[in-house]
Amino acid sequence: MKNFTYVRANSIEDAVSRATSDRQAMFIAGGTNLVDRLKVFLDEPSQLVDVSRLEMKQIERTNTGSLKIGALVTNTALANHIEVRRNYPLLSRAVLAGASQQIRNMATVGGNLMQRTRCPYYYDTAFPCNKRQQNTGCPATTGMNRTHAILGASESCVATNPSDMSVALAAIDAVVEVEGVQGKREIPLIDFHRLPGNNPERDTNLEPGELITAVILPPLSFSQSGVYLKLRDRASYAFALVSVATALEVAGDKIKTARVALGGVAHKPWRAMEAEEFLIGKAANKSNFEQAAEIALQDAQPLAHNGFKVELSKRAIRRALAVSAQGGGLA
Amino acid sequence: MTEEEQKLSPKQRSRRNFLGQSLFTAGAAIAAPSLLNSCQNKTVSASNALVEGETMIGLKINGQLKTLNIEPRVTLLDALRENLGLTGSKKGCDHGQCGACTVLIDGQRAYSCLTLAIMQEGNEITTIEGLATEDNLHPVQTAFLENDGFQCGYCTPGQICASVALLEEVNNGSVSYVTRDLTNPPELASLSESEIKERMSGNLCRCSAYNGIVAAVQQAAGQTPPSPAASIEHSQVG
Amino acid sequence: MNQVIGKSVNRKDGRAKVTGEATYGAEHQIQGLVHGYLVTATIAKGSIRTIDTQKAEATPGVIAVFTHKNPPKVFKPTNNWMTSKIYEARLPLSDNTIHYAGQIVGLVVADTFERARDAAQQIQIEYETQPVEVNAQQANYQKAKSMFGEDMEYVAGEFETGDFSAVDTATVEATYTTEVEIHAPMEPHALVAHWENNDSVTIYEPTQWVKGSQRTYAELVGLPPERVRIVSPYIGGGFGCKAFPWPHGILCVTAAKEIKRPLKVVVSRRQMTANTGHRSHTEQTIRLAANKEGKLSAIEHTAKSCTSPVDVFTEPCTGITPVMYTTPNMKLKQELAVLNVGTPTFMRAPGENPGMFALESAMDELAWELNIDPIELRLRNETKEHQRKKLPFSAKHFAECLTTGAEKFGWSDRQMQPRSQQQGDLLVGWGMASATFPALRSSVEAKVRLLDDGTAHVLTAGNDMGTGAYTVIAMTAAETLGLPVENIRVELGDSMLPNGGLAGGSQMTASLTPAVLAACQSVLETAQAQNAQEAFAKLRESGRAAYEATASSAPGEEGKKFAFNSWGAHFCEVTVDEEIARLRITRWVSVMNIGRVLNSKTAASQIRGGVIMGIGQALMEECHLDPTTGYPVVYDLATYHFPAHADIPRIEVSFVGEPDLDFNPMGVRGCGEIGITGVAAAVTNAVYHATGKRIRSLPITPDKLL
Ligand SMILES: Cc1cc2nc3c(=O)[nH]c(=O)nc-3n(C[C@H](O)[C@H](O)[C@H](O)COP(=O)(O)OP(=O)(O)OC[C@H]3O[C@@H](n4cnc5c(N)ncnc54)[C@H](O)[C@@H]3O)c2cc1C
Ligand code: FES
Ligand code: FES
Repeated sequence: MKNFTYVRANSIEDAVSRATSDRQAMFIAGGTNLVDRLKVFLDEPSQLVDVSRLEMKQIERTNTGSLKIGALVTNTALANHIEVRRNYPLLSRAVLAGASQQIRNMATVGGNLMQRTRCPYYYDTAFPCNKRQQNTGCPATTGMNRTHAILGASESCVATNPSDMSVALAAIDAVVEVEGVQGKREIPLIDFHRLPGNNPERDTNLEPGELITAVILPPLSFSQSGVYLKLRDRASYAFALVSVATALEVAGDKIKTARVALGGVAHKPWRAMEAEEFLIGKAANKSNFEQAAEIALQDAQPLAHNGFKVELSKRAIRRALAVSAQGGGLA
Repeated sequence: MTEEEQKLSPKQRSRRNFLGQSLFTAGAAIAAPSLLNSCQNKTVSASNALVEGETMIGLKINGQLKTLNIEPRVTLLDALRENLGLTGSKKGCDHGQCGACTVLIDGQRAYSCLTLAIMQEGNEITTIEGLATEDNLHPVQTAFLENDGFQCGYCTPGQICASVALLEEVNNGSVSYVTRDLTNPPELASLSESEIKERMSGNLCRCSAYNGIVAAVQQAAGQTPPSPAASIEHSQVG
Repeated sequence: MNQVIGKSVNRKDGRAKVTGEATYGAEHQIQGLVHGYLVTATIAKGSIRTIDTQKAEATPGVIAVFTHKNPPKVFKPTNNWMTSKIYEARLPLSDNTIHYAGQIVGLVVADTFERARDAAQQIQIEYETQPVEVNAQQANYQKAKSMFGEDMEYVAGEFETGDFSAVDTATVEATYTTEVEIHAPMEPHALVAHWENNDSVTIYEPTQWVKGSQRTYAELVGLPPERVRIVSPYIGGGFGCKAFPWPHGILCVTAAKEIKRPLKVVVSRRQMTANTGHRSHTEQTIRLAANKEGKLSAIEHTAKSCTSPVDVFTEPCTGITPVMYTTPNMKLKQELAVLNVGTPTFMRAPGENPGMFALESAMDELAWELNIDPIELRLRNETKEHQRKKLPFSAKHFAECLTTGAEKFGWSDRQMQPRSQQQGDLLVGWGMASATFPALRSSVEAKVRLLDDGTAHVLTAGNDMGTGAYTVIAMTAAETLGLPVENIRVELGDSMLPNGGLAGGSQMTASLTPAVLAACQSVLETAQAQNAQEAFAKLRESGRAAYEATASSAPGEEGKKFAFNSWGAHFCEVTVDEEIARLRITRWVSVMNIGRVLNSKTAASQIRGGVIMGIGQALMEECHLDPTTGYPVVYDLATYHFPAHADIPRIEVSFVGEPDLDFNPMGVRGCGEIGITGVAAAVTNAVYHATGKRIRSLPITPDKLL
């Protein structure tokens, strides 16, 4: 870990102005991702701006019926909040599926959105990596890529986004509220994270100096059907090989609305819009779920070691939709 | 009633009070974690002075204020182990991947390897060294001892701190990934093994004393765990 | 004998461990301590062309930087198993050649840990790289040389003159593979070296072999052993990787002398994955032939493993084959290849573990082929003698392990058909496998002191890495002296104490407790007393402060009359959610025959620990290297998965059989390693029963169940 100067921001404006004036400055919130990265020299900030004591710790209902989650709400507080457990069970479950209680106690909503990939090539400076340093190459494309992306990857990067929370947020149509020196703006979650393209060094569309201040959850009338299913190499305390968030609104015997988002398969939480559209107006049955799963993965481009993720994703989608169709719950 | 308590159902509130009293009488008092909302603002002023190089900071550890001179890049774990001689908190991985460094920060369990010491100024830190009183082990420590919840002992301080927090979390009505109905959190008396195991999974044990640890948590939760001993099926006389 | 022996007793070292007072190697607080951080190679084969340390040296707080250009002075040790032993024959920083990724190429010393780590990152190295050899499938295998004298090839019966002519009803021929596994003890490798006056050094390092480590370090620094002290009261897990000095230890001790400051070196979790040992990848082919009653007529077992370019270690998989099942025709073959990887070493049941995975899988396949219950198949082929040594086994109760286990598990309810048991949407499978591990012991000493305060002290340079040694030693003394366990104090892990032997090969308890027994008897003799109380009375009368006696215990002629092994059987239930490839282990029963059980609580924990490490091997443990560079891509506890709480069911442990008094006067055979043997096969056998799918390549990650 390189040495840095440390400062405790005393207001959002203070934090934003420091990070804007010093391009080498970084925010630190829970620290569970950044401290980890600093120790292995993935980031070498000149200045750490500690935002953890700022006033962004509330969960409140807005007058439009949305739920506004402050960026510093811990993962534990989010997952346990009664409104979240009642109205966004898939979000609660997704957050609880991530990491461990200790990490969730420290980790914040903003930090979780900004956590970087767990690609082992990115995570060790012994390897070149386009994400760490532009145009140095991506050894994962020809190396061990069992955990890498099958959707939306590029030649320059095949990393996946590791966040569980973001997958549920994608399915919920959440919106990220950010603040920069220019003021506040809102970014739909599904546009918040980016595909790698030729700029894998950029994970998100946050501009330099901008601070995440909140995440807004719009009301979701069929929230009870929400499911978050995470498949992994170890029963707990492991990142997803594949995960899926689903919710279904069924009217009569037809699907009115469907939500399907995948985790562990792409550089961003992956909303399977075409699969969702296919399901609208269809009966909530096995064969339609199977077809939806096929559609969701039709563009998959597996690498040498992660072909299994295509099949595993399809099956996870089928299962999660089936559980959603039965009213949701633990899958 | 505090704001967070208002958010609990009456049932949860009474459970919290009841168990909160019975469970920790023999142990050290631990600040109740404010589970449903993260920590309130600390007394430490958000002074925004730039800290460069070694600086004097103050940490509240096991009820005592300790001052130390460290660089801002020193983690809480290294501050405890290298600067304060509190080696009870273990370094297993240094990357949040094992749980050996688990301590309680304002009553909530956290990995001390993933936070900077300077960020914890003003917070109440409890380490394994702060759980027992002079005469009495904390009930969770006793339960570990009796149920053989360890072998080499290296993961043990972390497992114990995690268990202490777990009991309090359940008291406060928290849910886990395996809680079937998220609106109906489990209670200590009927907390299932799968709940305990999921909630303890952030603490790895390579000696694999997992059965004993689960039994220790059950005991501390007021349940009756199975005996940790083997059954001996044959005359051992000789 | 049975006042306390065999009872369930809390650990003597328990209080220290639950309060955080137990101090592990590098945690010893020493005035003026400085910190070393290792620099490791980022290529797997080649050499260092240039190494630039200037920037690092200019970093604040840096005290010294060592590389191959200025290595600290070190003497070449004898490095045979008897006098001294290092894990890796090549001494650290001895030249600029790189043999594997993660090899130590430098050490930076600074006043704080943070500064040392930062400076280590500043060292710039240019390498000359060569193509690496890291693929075990494509490696060049040669006949393996013996490690401990016994030829690793063996033929009997028809194999002596050629191949076995299979005319039997059933044959099974299959190849089984296991991946590279790491010990991953929770306490990382770490030590503090503290020199005084340039001619004596104290080394605080976790070691499974206190006296061996003392002799070895003494040779390495060119001092007589009595000038080297090893302090290792607690070890945070070893499993085979903390028995001898590794290069980082050698470097720490020799560098500390040069800088004239107490030096601490902690190997980071990442570095450890590459340079402090592992279990090699193995590939084993097994051929079984049997008549229709299931009597084996031939076993052929070929095993391949890999080693590093800088030392030789063969994973001896075929050692178990002549021990398990009787057959007139047997062929064993062991091959080894060199890869650009760190040096593999002993890891819990080296050889026995992968060997039993292959053999017990093949036996299961044969049972299905013949439609015979797998327990029955094993009972029909049990051997009363060790087929290579031609000696009868002593106190063997293998059959009882099988039958007791079957009863406890409820095996008789098993449907003899794959995919025949269901629980809602889940497939349920039941599997079993046998377990075995040789009983070993060595020559050790213990000292016992009776003090006028009514306590007894037992002193020996053995150690307790979680095995329960503190407790069983205290129990043995308590029993022999007629004292409560609380009145016994045990001191271990210090080379100033009498030779306590090696905690390896499951032999510490079998070696030490007979010596403790003898020392207790001897101290009572000295006092001319029947028990400790009488001795204490005499002490008070005479005004003496203490009685003291030292005794040793060593194996004798018994090894010429008997073969000694421990035995066991595992039974497990798995559920498979086939659609989403989710496998869970839901029930486990292990029955073991280990001679006398000294402490039914700690012995159960040892077996459970073995079983769980075996479950890890079965389900998730695997290291991977980048195929092009040979650099690890699995390198920490987030990428190397071993079981967490959520993976593990309750494990019911039982013991059968009487004390094995032919083996030693305590009748104990040890239980540290047997628990892991056969575990992976029990799991894959259960998976077959559940799904009809035979998994021959570990681990069974979700992709293999699709
Ligand atoms: C062993 C391990 C296992 C894990 N397993 C999982 C898992 O299974 N699933 C999962 O989803 N996650 C997992 N995590 C990751 C964990 O969820 C993240 O580390 C955590 O959410 C990050 O939050 P934080 O507040 O600690 O962020 P920090 O570490 O403080 O910050 C992370 C990044 O976000 C930036 N940042 C923080 N706050 C803001 C803000 N308000 N605005 C703008 N930028 C900000 C920081 O500059 C930094 O770059 C795991 C982590 C570890 C160490
Ligand atoms: S040392 Fe902190 S989690 Fe491992
Ligand atoms: S007791 Fe050794 S790691 Fe848990």
